[in-house]
Amino acid sequence: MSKKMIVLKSSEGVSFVVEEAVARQSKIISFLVEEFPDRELPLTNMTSEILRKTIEYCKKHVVEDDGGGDSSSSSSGDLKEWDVKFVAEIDQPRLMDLLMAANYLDIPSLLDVTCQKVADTIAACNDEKEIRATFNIENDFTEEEVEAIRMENQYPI
Amino acid sequence: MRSSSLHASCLFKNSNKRRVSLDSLPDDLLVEISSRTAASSLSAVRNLRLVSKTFKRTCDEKYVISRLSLHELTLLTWYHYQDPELERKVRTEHERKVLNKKKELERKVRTERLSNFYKRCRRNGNPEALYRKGIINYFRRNQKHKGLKLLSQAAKKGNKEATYVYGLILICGGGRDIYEEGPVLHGGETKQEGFKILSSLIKSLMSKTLEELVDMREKIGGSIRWLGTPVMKELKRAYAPDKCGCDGRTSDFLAYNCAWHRYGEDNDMNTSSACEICLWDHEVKCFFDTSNE
Repeated sequence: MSKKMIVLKSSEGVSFVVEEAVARQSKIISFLVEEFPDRELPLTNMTSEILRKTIEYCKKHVVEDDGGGDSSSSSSGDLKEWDVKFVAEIDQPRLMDLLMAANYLDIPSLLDVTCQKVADTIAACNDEKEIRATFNIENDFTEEEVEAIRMENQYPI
Repeated sequence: MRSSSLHASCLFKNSNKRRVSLDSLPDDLLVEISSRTAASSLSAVRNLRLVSKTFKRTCDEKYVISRLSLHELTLLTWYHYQDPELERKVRTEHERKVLNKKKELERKVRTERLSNFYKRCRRNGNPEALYRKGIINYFRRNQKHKGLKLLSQAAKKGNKEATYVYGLILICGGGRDIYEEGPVLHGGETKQEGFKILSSLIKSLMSKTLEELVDMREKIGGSIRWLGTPVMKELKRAYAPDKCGCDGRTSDFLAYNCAWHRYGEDNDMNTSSACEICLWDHEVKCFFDTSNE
């Protein structure tokens, strides 16, 4: 029996043909597939690059119940290692996009690894300036406010 | 100079088009991320609170505080306040007095701020903060009921230090009447429950090998022993070993190894294959052994 395929379309209009089981790790897609079978699903707020990355993740994590295929049967330890490598290779801006994609498509495990990576990156920064620079955040405090928080911080929180 | 600023603006242009700023994420994601940062360290959260208004707000959320790691603070931080900078400047007797007053005041302020901080952590259900207060109440302040309640709360939230201490206290005091100075039970929990709690500690893969168990014993024991020796002695006296009827392999192994041989790669035992009654019997003896002090 051949596997059922579905088509996902990125914001640039590029179509990706994906096995249904792979795409169904997204709860949103799972819902849409049932509502609109045999239709292309337009994902207008995802670029091809991020969609490709997301699919790569889902392919690795798919659990196949018919036993065949080479994309499953990884042990959980291997999978963890793979996840770490997967997020380590992504630069900061793309990581944010991927996190947004995981949130939008509702893929809990991808959201988990991307959130953890962001948190680890924050924890690795030496001060608030480094965090702002890394994540493109604007400082909206006045100098007095910064001083006040520093005072608070002197004693734990 | 010129070329580097040009380079920077080019980079910015390239990425500007598609770059999402971290603090423009939805609130629930920011709280999740902040809580994971909090779980790694207190200093990381301090930095994060200074980043922007959005982050200051999310860092003060209940969920973030409940996951905050306190490992950077020692158990009794407020007893060691010193300011070497000021010490060096002191020359006369009068200056010494002034400095002492200042130190006393500063110590008071710090103690209060710190205790407010811990209170806030406990209110928000932070397991480490519950554990710390539980230890101090049970072993130091002789407020055993309160202490046990805090330890059991922390243990229920999965704090492994609390699980270890709480379980051992229960198996020492289980099945006995409540008496003023001795071990007391909280909410009628028994020795059997103590074994169940301790069993969850080794079953949940928190500590699969004896080596890990010894590490945990030393870490926890080190922080309790100097403040809680009298109570530890009480517990050890109150302990009555159970008969288990096993083949004795576990206790032989433990007795042979506890003195000179360290557990290691070729000399260890998987805790899941041990007789649990013998295992915890040994643990009670080691943990509450205050004879070296």
